[in-house]
Amino acid sequence: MSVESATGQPIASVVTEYLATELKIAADGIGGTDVLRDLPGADSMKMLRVVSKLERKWDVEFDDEAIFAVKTVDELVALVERSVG
Amino acid sequence: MTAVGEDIELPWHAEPSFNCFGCSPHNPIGLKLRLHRSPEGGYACETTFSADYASYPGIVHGGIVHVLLDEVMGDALALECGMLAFSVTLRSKMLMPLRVGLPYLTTARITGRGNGVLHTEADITGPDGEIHVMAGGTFQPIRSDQARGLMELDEAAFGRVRHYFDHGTGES
Repeated sequence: MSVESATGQPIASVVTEYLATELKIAADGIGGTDVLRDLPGADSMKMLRVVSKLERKWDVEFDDEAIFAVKTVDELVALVERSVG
Repeated sequence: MTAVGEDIELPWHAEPSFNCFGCSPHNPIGLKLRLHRSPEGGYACETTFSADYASYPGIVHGGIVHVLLDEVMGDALALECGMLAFSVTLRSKMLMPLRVGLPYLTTARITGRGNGVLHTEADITGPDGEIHVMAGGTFQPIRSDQARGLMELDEAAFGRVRHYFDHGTGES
């Protein structure tokens, strides 16, 4: 079973939606195994902004080293799930 | 109530003993920050830092950036709730450096309350419209015994400002 946000939306879909909004790309073009830094228009500042928005959404604070260890979309989803769960 | 966009006269500036580094217009080495109500809700502050506040050449010092965040979040709380509060926790993501000589807009709002604390958020946006800093703060309302013990107020001054203290956080 997937972990859900307070609104019932699966965490993976929130992560994808935030990435799509930040990078101005289509959400359905983002896959779980995609490498974050290789997504169109991605840079470290934009990725950190997505991370900050995710922290705000669930009122959590990710470990800095864990943030910088994240390479793929799935790993970012897993980071949120570990913090929320 | 002050209109959206108009500078707010912070009511505690009338108290001579208040010499806040962030907001007092009387502190000669302070930032003299001015707030206005934001059209999006909450409060906002426009700031341009000179090279006096630099860290690396041309870059605003991170400590000064945190004074700005702390001040605008704390003032938003004071204006919205009529209480003074101590910051307990400040968290920030410094996404991009702030440049000396460029105008930045800091916005702050209250996002929650419970278990004796209030939660706030603030963002600093650059002239390019990009968010440079995202921050969150947790604040604890100041009790009158703390104010008496820490603020060195005489009886008359305490009487003038005591309405700012001993507020609950409104949780049910």
